[in-house]
Amino acid sequence: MDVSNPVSDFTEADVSRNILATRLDALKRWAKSGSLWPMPFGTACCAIEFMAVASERYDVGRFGSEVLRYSPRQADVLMVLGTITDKMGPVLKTIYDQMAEPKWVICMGACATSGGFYRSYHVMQGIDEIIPVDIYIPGCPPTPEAVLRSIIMLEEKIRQQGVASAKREFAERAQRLHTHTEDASVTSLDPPSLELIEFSTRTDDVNLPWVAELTNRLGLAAIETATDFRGDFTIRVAPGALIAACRLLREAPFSMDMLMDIAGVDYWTRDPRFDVVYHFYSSTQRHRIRLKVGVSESAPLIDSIAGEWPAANWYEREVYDLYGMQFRGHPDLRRILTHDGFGDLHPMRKDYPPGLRQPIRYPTEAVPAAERSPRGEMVPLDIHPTIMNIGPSHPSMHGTFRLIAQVDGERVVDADVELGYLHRNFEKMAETHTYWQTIPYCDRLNYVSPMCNSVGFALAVEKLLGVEVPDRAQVLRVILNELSRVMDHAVCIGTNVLDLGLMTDYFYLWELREQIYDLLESCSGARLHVSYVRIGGFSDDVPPDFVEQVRRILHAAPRILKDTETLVTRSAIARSRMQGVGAISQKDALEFGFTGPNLRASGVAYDVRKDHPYSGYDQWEFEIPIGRQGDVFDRYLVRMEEMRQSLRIVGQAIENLPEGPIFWDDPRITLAPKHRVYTNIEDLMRQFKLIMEGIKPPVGEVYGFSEAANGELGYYIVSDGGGRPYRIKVRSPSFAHYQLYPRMVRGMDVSDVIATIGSLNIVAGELDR
Amino acid sequence: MVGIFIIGILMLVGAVSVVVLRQPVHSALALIGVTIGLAMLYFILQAEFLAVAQVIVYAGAIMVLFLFVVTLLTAGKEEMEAEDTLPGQRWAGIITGLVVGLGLAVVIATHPPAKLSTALSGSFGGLHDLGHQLWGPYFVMLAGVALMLLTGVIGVLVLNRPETVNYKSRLDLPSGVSLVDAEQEGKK
Amino acid sequence: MILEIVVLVVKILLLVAILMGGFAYTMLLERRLLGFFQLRLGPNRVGPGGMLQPIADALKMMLKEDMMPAGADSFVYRLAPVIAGFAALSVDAVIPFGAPIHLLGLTISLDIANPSIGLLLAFALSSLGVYGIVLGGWASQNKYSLLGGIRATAQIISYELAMGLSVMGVLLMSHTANLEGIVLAQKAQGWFWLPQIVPFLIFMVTAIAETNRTPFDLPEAESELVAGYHTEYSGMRFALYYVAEYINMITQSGLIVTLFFGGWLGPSFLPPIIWYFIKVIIAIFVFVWIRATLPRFRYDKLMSFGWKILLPIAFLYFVGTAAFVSGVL
Repeated sequence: MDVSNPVSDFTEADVSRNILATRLDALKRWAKSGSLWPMPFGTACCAIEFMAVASERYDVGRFGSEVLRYSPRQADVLMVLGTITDKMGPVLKTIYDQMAEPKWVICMGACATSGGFYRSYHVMQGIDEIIPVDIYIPGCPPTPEAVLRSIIMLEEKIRQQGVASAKREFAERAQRLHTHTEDASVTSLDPPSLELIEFSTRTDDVNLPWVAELTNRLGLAAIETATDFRGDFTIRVAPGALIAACRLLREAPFSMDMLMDIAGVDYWTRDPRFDVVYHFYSSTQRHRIRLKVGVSESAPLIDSIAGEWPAANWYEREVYDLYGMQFRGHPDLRRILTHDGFGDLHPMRKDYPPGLRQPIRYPTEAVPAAERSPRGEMVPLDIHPTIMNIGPSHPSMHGTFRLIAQVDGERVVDADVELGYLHRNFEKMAETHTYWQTIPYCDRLNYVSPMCNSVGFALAVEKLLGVEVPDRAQVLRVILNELSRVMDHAVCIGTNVLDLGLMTDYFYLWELREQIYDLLESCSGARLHVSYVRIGGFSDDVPPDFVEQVRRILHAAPRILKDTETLVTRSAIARSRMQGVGAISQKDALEFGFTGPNLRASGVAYDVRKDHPYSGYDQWEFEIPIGRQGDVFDRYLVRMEEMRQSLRIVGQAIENLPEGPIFWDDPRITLAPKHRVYTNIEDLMRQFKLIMEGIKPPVGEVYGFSEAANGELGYYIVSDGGGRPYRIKVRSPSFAHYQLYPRMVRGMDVSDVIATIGSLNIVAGELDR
Repeated sequence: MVGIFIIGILMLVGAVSVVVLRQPVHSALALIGVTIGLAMLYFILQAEFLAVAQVIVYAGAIMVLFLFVVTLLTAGKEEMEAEDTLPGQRWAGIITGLVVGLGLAVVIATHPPAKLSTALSGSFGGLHDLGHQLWGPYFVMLAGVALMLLTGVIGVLVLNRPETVNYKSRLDLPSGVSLVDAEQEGKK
Repeated sequence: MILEIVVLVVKILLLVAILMGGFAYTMLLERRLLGFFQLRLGPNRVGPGGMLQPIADALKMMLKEDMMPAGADSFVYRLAPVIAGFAALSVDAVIPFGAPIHLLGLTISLDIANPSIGLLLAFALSSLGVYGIVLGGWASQNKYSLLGGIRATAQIISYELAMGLSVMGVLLMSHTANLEGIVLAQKAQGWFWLPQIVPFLIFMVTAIAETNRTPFDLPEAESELVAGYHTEYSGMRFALYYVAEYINMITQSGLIVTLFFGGWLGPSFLPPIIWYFIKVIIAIFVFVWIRATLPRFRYDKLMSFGWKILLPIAFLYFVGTAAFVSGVL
């Protein structure tokens, strides 16, 4: 204390500096700051980076914060990791309200902070609309170092915060009301070009035996037109003949056995205004067919094919939700992705402004008197068997899934799922961005293996453009794709066994992932969302020590996989949890459009890489593992083997990596090298045109598909010849897998429910899009 | 002696609570209190083994099972207004209680406690002594009780045999059986 | 007489202090060890080398708001953690920490009570611990808590039987149920873990089940039941459950050491009490090791493992030991 100060100048603060109580207060603050137990509210990509923070490289445990409490009562800091949609808002608010004081909020990533680049109809533009935030971490996703820094900052904040300011903050927080900001910024949407309308109703002279066969069986009036564009066959059928046509497709010579996707398209100025597009695939004949039906705006009615194809159930719900088509005879036509606040609005219609959010009701009652049953009706809480909500904020529901289960003791009698908690409108966003700008959005679909998504998207656009990338780029794509697959499977297995109670193996597998992160970071500068792929190649060549780095991963990976074998495959307890649990029959798997490891575990050897080779996959030797029972254990074994096979592909590819360009020098598609842009007027113009207007593919529509980590990832792209895609529909593998899940869990124990969802590897980003 | 009275009074309160309390879990808690009180009485009477056995068996096992059932059945329910399923059972209960209580009082009045007491051996209620008693003079009864319990156990197992058709068995089947088919069959 | 009472009070205070400190640092030990098993470091920032981490955690939990759900049964909700804490602490009263020491002309045995049936008393007290769990789960009026409580009941009932049977062999070999007597018997006959190897393993398994730790952590299975029976508890009450869980682990380690590894016995270059604690720490290490290695059982497998495997084996070995000890074999 300053001796020269006269006594009369003593302020209250000076006095309080010297008494015991303030020492005690400092001790209290020290304790609070040293023991921050987080409640991870992970919804999206940031949660994956938070997993890295908890893992061995960064180890948040050093700060004593590794005690993740999933019960909000016991947590000190709410870590909001990832995009919060309006649908998720009430959940987040409830969780926050349930936390015991003192409590803090760390808001991780651009999405949670401000909505990020999802300025869309379903995404909350920053969580501070509903809850107070102590620390914001910028980044998309922030690096683990930034997360650690945020914890240190919070510790400092707590240590420095006096009693008075804490009290004031508490009072402010209590007064804070929910403010809902509606972002009605309307990006002007162009009407479809006449060319597109012509294309979408065009009759090509398709000389296809199928068309003749269909016309024979259904009558001349049933088949309106048929198109063949870039090898995709599209047949437009009359609305009345839809069901008959769908039934017919099951039979020879079509023998379609998988309904891959149903998409709605809004042609806005055309009549009929909408198209509903059905994608079928025959796993025996290995061919595809696309059916189209027009639906008018005045009477948006169409027959449901859910009776014929059970998998159509959810796809039709999605079309209803986003476009407002009524499906006659649909068993359960409810909204699926968006929240109930949308009333009779359907946001994917072209005249719906992309950024217009709808108000949502926040819970006011502490204890609900009734809950929604799996069948949708409200039931009181004390009925038997009781309703149990598992998720969306549940440690095993990976952030955003919600299972509404009717349980008798521990046995699930009936169940339904609610999705859309991460519906951040990829498709609407893509319509307002150029093809290039869509790539970062693609990365965030399956955020566990971002590379696979953007490669798939680039392949689809390249198919639309009719170009192929140079050899070097192809081989690099294969290498990075396969490493991403390894990364994805590692997380799937790691979290699956973590849910079974085995912690350690998760950390071992994460080490493998970190090594691949290192490689991606050295290539692109980003760990997770690399945005490395470009249409026509890559953004830049790989670093000089690329081969060396890949070899190091190839050297380290087998040891890590061996550890997993020891801890999981050979563990009797783990096997008893996995064998015979969540078995999916071959028939079910095909019927519901399963693809990827989940389909192969059920014994169907369908792999896009083998059956429809792309990017030169046919030059590498690898095998497709298949399972027999289709249970959790088989899915685990298939994933383990796929990781080995992927490493085998990488091993071959890295030794045969050709030299050469990583993109063709094509002024319509790729940017010129920077030194030419600065020195050459043509290249400057080229840069300007490509950046401002984007790539302009020809008018047409393609379904581009590739084997992502979870299965067949398809992009159905409609181009009107402009710089922005007219419509992109993602055929995500998780959506198909998840549809069977509520049926699978019936009759299971709660423990098996958990084991099963982990083994299906549902990723919310591509599920809800 | 003072201890016995205090514990006795507490046990009486507990016993009355078992009957009076509305919430079954509270009743069960009171009953646990009574059993533990009984164990304390044994302890005061130097019957250490009996006391411990009382706690292990009654408080540690039987009452846990009671609670298991009661918690499962009363979860999520408000305190239940006891419904009289048997008309007049309260009055019948009170009268029976009074009669039994009166009878006991008469017995105690006519035979004061001093006359009832018999000489206790030094190791009364201890591990060894009890063992010798049970396996010696009372062996037939012990065997009889054991047999009876065994019958009970077998009876429970037989009565609660799991139903032959359950969900699990369907899922355990190899991949031949389709969920969709099974569902449609169920609907038919 | 007064001196004896003073000694007793001092012993009780010391025991509680040791247990609370033991709890705190067992927790830290577990977190550090788990870190090492998982290629991490574990807490090392709060205080030198992370040594103050448990202090900070404990203080923080005391300062945390104490919440009770609106629908909870307030009396039972408050009572339950107390029962859990009491049961965990009281068991240690009968476990001898070391050989009796001579001080001020008094012979002080290093336990609080030394009843002739000490082992059974330990069982009786620890069997009460389950009430804390099932009542807490029920009183929270939360479905996850309730499931946790119910799982705990079924699990502990099933495993207590096997546990009881597994120590019968030790009782037969040492001819006493007094824990000090059991230790002294091992001085004469050698440590019991070798002749009683099967019961020792069964006791180890059931001890893990009794403490609700992986692979038997179903009552609080985080990935299934969020936090199990204590989902709704916060602050001090939650801390009490935490305390109970870790002290139970120390207690069970103490019982394992006393019953099968000769308690405080050991070469004389270290005092007996040190030997006792070294052994207990090794047992705790094994607990943590198992947690880091094994996944969790499923409910039905756990039950059938307890009833169909552990119980018959324990029973058979018990009959065998009886035949051997009585000289029939």
